[in-house]
Amino acid sequence: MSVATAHDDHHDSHDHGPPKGWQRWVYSTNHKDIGTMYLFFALFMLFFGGAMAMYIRAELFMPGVQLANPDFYNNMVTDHALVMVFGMVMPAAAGMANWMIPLMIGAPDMALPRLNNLSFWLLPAAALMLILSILAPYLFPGSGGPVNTGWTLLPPLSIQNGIGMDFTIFAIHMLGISSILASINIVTTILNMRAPGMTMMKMPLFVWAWFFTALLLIAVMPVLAGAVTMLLFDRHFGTSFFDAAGGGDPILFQHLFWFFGHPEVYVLLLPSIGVLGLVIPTFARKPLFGYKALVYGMGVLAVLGMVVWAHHQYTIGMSLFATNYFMIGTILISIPVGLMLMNFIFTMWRGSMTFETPMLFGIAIILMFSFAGVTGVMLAVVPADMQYHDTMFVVAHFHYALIPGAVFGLYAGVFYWLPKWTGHMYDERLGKIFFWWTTISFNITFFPQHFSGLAGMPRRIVDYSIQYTEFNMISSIGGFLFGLSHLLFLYIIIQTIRGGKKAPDKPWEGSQIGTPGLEWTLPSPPPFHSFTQAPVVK
Amino acid sequence: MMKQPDDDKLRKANLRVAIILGAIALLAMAYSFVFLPKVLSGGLVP
Ligand code: HEM
Ligand SMILES: [Cu+2]
Repeated sequence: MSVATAHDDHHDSHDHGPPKGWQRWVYSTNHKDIGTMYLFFALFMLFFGGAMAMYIRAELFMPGVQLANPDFYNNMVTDHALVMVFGMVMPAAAGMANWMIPLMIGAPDMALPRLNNLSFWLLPAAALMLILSILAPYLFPGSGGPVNTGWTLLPPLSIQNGIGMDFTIFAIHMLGISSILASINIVTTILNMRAPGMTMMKMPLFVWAWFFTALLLIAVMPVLAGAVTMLLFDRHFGTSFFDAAGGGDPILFQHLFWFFGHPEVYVLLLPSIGVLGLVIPTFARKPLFGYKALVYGMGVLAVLGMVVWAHHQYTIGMSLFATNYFMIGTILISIPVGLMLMNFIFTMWRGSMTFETPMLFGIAIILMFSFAGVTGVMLAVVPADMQYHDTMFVVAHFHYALIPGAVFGLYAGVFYWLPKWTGHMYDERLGKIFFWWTTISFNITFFPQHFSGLAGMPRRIVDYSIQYTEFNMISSIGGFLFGLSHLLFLYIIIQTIRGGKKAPDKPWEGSQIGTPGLEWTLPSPPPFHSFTQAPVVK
Repeated sequence: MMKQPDDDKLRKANLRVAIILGAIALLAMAYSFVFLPKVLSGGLVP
């Protein structure tokens, strides 16, 4: 029987293993295989985006223009962000969703397995497009310079860019289609595929987090797709959506971009909050404090997140009413965010905690993400943001939000689930070294950027005045150390895949407390077809 | 909630949910072309 029809004829599909060779991956409709591919893709993009970050920090090590030209620098700033956001964090989170959601809710697979295959395989194509957009100025001489707009792709600059911008737009189209399809699949799976007795309010927090994430993506990703399509039309088909000379308005693009962009930061954050909701109770050996409040809190966060976008555009000269509205809305968001962090702290309160690598990341997230919350409220205040906007202070804010808030959550997830995925325990000592190495070097990298930003150093500019030199040197050294730590990450992952202590079905003592889902009822690693008979939750 | 994995009813139910969600995504796309520009270029956020 061919792989593509495995799900059309399910009756005899549980007595064959995975198909052999490349067909297993290219034609895959298996949620675990597709999850694995997502995760490896994200790992590859982590190093790709990381290499660009290393270039950025090398260039900023000293004032002056050292390594390449300003356009190339801005191209790297643009693609570092696009790769990390769309190529790394989102696919890694989607990989975890693919792997874990069916296992947690007791489903045999995702609801739409062939759609799942398409969602994944759009990603390598999109990555190729992004790489082409970087290479375009060299492959097609005379086609215009590098894409140098930053990830926000603001016109009029993005209209003036060369052919590289078109590749970027097509990459975003494909990435957008991929994540909309994946989101549709995830929501359908959660609504329809739960095992008997697995009610919505029994689902592990990770599943809820992805439920809201997927809904957000379905609502806002098409708006970005629409916006870049308008951009494409302005570039090639004579429209002037964003061209003031033709009666359009470049500010309109900002509204469309941030209408997508702010919810997007919650898309990056929420899956990791979901992982935290498993890791903290597991290693505190206490049920999650305020499960319901967390679920509602995430819902409120998702809704509020959709109506505060213009806090990224305070400086464009909006009316006082609009400015006030966006300021108050933004500050309100710290309530559900604070509630989540408090719930995690109360979960740990009087628990019997142990500090395995996922838990270390969990605690670090709570501490360092709070820091981003504080700088976020500073940025939300309009008169203050007039000073901070477009400085390194914003860069510091969102790296504190995204690295602990999203990336460390994914690392926690990787260490938490590696035993389940591979059937082997990772080396705890190396895991801890990796934790301290990343956490310390992350802070060395981004903490000084608060100061250089407050002192006025602009972001996205290749050169700076000499008074910022020390801060930048510290940042760069931290950055190189942070980059280097990921070689250890790679080593730990390869080592764990290849062997190690055998992992039991429940690799952690508190597994069942952490997530009362069904994933622990299966062996580590789970069989190729997870639940051929629907389990019943009592 | 799933009673039996992979029966025909479930497949139809999945398709129904997926189509509804897809329609929402298409509406969101249309919204970016029609509604948001109109509101933003004259009304709420001048
Ligand atoms: C308490 C919650 C938060 C508040 C009040 C807040 C507020 C803000 C404000 C006002 C800005 C615009 C600053 C400027 O450009 O002048 C901003 C930028 C940013 N924030 Fe936050 N933020 C919060 C949480 C988060 C979270 C959770 C994330 C992501 C996980 C995040 C990611 C970002 C990013 C990526 C940018 C910069 C986007 C860009 O200009 O390229 N923020 N934040
Ligand atoms: Cu925002």
